[in-house]
Amino acid sequence: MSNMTRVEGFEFDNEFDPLEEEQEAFLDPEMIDDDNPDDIEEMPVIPNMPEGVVRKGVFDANNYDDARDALRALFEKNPGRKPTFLSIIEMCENGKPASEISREVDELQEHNYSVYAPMTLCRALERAGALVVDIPESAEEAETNDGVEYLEITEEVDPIWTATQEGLDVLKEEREGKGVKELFEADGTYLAIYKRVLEFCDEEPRTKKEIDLIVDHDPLVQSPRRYSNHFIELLEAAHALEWKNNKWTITELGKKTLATM
Amino acid sequence: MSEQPTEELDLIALMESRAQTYGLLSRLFRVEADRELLDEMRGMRFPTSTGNRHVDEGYKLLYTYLKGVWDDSVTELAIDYVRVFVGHGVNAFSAAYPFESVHTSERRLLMQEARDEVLATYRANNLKKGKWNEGEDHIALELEFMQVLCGRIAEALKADDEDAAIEMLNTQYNFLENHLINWVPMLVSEMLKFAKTDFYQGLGKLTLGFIETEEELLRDLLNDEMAEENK
Repeated sequence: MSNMTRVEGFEFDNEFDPLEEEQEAFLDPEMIDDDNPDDIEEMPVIPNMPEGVVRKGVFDANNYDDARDALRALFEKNPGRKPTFLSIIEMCENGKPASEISREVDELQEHNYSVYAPMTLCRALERAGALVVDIPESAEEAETNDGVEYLEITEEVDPIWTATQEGLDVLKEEREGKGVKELFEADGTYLAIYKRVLEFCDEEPRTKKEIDLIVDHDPLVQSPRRYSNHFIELLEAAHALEWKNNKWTITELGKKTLATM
Repeated sequence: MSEQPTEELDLIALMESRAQTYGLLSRLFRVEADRELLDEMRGMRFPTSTGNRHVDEGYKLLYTYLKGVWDDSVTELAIDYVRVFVGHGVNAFSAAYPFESVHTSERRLLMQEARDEVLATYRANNLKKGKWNEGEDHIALELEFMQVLCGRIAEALKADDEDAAIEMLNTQYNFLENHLINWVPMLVSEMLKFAKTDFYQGLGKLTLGFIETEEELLRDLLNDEMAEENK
């Protein structure tokens, strides 16, 4: 039997006892009290709820006037996905079929799995204004068989995603190390720690426990208390470190940055 | 194995074809579509002129959606499934709820009289719920009940047990009249309000059209049988 027509909901019951009682509670409409607001179904639907109750999405591209700002905000809200987002924009510079993007993104995220499908990431970039998608119209194909006309599907559709100029602008600034520069400016007190972590991971990829040992006991991080996580996460968001083969690994940008420190 | 007359073979094929359609519709209502199902559906042929307007429109909409299926379609359909059948509100008007009780009870509540009735019918036909953990008056289960009976009728015909086949056709007709025909038009009218994809718009119209043709077919088959008996 095909997947389309398999019987899933029922079991055939040869020992069925029709007199067996159902042990389930029934909701009796007569018991509902119309004067009790908790007891009636006519409550406002969520879209009509008071403004204060409505929670906005974590990221909403409509809150930004410029696609570049929307894109930077998207990265800020999803630091773990930032390297993948940047790679997607890069691979779409001259347009790329969706199927190829899906395959390449799966490879890219081999060591940093995401619950988001590659196309969901592309849709997020599209909402932020970094990508556009061109979905081609497929032709209608009719065939007549024994006097009956049928429509048949013979073509595969593979839409093309293309990076916008705004997307490419933000990609360029990130690849030139804008994120790292901003990080070091904003968190300059700990420059020595950042440098130590980058040098350490430049020698060879490191585990979190190994990085703990060179960071957590430093007097600089005792008050206010900072742990290695803080530095790792910010370096990852700035794309100077990446998670690969279960270890923290320095990126090309990280190496370039280290050379200037 | 004895040779069966052509008319009987046609009836068996008809029952098997009906079972397949019920099975497909039941699957589409039961859970969101996955890529495997979409690929299988893309291999289907979609008739353009069946004699029922709703069936034709339904097939056309499904065809239009399916010919444009790509990597993002499974996610798009999952979102639309939730929008259509689950909704995001707290009252009984925020989605096209796929339970008969919601459409046939005064206060649009779950687990009402309709659910008790269909449960009794399933039990009378030696069926109990398998992997099912929602109300038994869900459209998917009602359609699957019809699918199961179609399969049994085909088996009865193969075994030359005409009386059993007629009895089950009668059961199907009564179930269709007392349940599916009674509420599916209301469900479909709500599906058309909520669905944003051609896929679920098409599913609604195809389901409506199919049960309309089923009513005619069962009436014809049973009338022929009664005419035969009165000869």
